[in-house]
Amino acid sequence: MSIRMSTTPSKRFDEKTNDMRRRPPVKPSGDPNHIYITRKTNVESQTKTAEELLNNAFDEIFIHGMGASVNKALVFAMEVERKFGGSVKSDIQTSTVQCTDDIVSLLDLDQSETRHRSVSAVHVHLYRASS
Amino acid sequence: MDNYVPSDETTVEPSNPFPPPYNAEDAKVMLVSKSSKFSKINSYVREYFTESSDRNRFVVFKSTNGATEKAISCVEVFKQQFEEPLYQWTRVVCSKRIVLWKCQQEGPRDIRVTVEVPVIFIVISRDPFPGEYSCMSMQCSSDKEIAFLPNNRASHGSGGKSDKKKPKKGNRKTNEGNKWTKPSSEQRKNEQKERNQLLKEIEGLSAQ
Repeated sequence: MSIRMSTTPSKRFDEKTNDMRRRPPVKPSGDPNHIYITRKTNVESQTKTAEELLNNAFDEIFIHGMGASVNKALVFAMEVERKFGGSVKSDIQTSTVQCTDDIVSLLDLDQSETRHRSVSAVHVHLYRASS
Repeated sequence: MDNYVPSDETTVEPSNPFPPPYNAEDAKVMLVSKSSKFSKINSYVREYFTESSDRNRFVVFKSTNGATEKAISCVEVFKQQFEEPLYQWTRVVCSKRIVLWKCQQEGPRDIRVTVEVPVIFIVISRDPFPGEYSCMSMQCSSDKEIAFLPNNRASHGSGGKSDKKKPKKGNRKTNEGNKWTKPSSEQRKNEQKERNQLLKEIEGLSAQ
């Protein structure tokens, strides 16, 4: 049985005979002052971590959120900014991240296809304002 | 909260955070909600830019009802579709939603709940922004670098990996007293010389 994806230009595929595996997106940096917000992130606990980072280790932190977690990333950034009053400022930029999905046939595991997906992302740079 | 009922809800909308001319009353503001369609908004903005290209130089995208991801996606799609380079300036402010909960029983007082919702404002301009407003929140659609990458590189260069390896090497050198460590090439050469000298001495004694 052949995969429908390969024969049709449509983005749809047969979910009964195929499985989509999402590869994790490429992270801009692995440094500890880069915080990646996902749908599962707890904003309160992450706010405490960010506070500790800004108080003890770093003068700047970077917050990244993509897709459905953009709003959460902005809420988190504003929460950190609010906690520090006027001593922390923010810069915001947006970008498009290319994500890759693997579509694997459940009938023939050797047969797979990749598909690229564009996801919007937001990057917030929080830094200590010079007095 | 079983005995409380929401009675009044007010929303304090934030004002446009950009300086003039981007906050002028006649500036075109596109309100993006969760149910907005990319095609409708983007085709409208495209028409607005092309109908009088000398007057219509910028548009402000504003998210409503927490549709920040939609507003960002809308701008990203428009930047990719538009032929000319576009300049972007992003700012986030808070809108306050105040809900008054009234108690159905007598005695407890009413509760006033304030929820802060982020609202994103994005200016898309065909001209570069004035130099006096220059900040890191500005970007251009022709930029191919990931946001804040130069800082990342700088921090990554002085990052932990190389620093972590150095003390390990130092530890190995300080372990010279340990008899189980692999001898260095100089130590092996010295040992070989000593062995050769001993052999020569033994050979000389046996010849006598």
